[in-house]
Amino acid sequence: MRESSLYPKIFDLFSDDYHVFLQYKIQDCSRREIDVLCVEKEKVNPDIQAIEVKISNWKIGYRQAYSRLFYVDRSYLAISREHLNNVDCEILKKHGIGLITVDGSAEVILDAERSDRTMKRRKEMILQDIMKRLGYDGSKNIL
Amino acid sequence: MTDPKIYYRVLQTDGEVFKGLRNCYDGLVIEASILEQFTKFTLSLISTVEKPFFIDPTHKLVLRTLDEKEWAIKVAEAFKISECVEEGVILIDKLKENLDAFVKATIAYQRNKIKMSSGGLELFGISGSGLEPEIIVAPYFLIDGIHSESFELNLEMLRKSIALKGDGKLYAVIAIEEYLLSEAEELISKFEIEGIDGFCVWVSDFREEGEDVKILEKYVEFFKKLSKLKKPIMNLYGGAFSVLLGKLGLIDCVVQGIAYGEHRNPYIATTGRYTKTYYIPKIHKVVPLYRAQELIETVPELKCGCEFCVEADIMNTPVNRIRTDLLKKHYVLSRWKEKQRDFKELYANMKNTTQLLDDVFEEFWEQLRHLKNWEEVLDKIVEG
Repeated sequence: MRESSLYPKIFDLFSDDYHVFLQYKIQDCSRREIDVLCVEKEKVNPDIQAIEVKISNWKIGYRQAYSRLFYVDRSYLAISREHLNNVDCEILKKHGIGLITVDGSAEVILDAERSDRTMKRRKEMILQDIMKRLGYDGSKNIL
Repeated sequence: MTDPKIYYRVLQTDGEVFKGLRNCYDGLVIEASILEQFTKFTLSLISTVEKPFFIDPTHKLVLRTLDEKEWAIKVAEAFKISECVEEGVILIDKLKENLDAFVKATIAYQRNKIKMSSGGLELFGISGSGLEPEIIVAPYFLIDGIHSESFELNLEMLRKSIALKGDGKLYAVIAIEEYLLSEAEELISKFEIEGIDGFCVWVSDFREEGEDVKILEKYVEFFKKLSKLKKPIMNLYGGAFSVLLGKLGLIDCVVQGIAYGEHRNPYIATTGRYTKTYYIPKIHKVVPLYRAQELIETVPELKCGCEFCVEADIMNTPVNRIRTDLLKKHYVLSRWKEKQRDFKELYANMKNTTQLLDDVFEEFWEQLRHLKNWEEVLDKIVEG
């Protein structure tokens, strides 16, 4: 099973309320890629969520999810249900990282808290890029 | 306790930093490849900063290979080995036949290249005096085994160099594969040769921040054993850990580039592309700039208040707009401050920093793991 096989279920979970982008390349020198990026629809200052997806290696996923706290409002780790029990939920809670489990569908097990590490400039960079992708030319406010 | 000297490798892009901060380092190392490509720049730099310098003659030839770049062709000609090179490889049999000429030419190059290139500088008010290298470095190749042909060749070149050294100081280079740290005793014993005035050490691709405790201990042990020969020791690629060892009397001079070159893997060609990095003084490590921002955002106590950091404003400026020269100046200043601090103070500060970062070790493991390893190794040395 590959990580990308979990993406459609996560897409379904958020697509009603969010614009969802898969394997979003952050437009800075970090060369990072957010597995699933969700940007709230119809909001002036939309909430942005990052979801890092792993089949089993939750620790690597956790480190990635942690680093996303500097770019977005909320960060999640998503993991296949069969490996859910390996996850140390306490460490996720400590930093406000949410947890999603994926099986037949995706389900939020632990809500992500609003990140207190979001760097304004980085969030704006993502929002501006998303605006362009969605065809906003800057004359309208946002999304 | 003595403070180790801090030397920098010269890059053509770093001239202004070297000139602007000439009081924040002790000397310069000029690689023959740089000297060939940027002769005028190098001359102008060493004439202006008036710092001791020496030439690293064969670091680009350390694998006995040469690429087809213009500088390589010039170096091969200057070192009289053009005839020994076939398809980019220096043929060992031909080199042996030509060894006298190679050693002689390499030493003469170090002595004369800069002086001979300085003709005309008088027009700019720069005299040719003071352009002699501080030391002469015996030509060297990477030693890949204790009983290897490369080791024998190095020793042979060293003996020939000693015969030619005259009044100058001649340093032997011990350039080794990392696994040879385990054979330090035998390796070093072969360098107990009359006429050597000092040692330069290059442990291939040895990353002080990346190695585990056992390997670090072997590294320390290597320098301990070498220091028993009572000759000055330069680490050709070292960082903050080497500075700490210097303060313990094990290393006399630490060489690095400005925010690069604290290690070097001879098997990987350097691209010359500069990735923006930032030296976090409290963790003694160069990290990618975007990662440094994250670490400082998480632990604001790591923020540096030096004049260059204030000007660069790294937390509020997009990475692509942060001036590279300020980051480099910050690096040079930080290393200089490390050199000036007492070992006990540095050691205590490091321990405090480790405690401060305890909560985020997992999250920044890549950037922080060395601290605990260094502490463990230094603890044992201090406890004696």
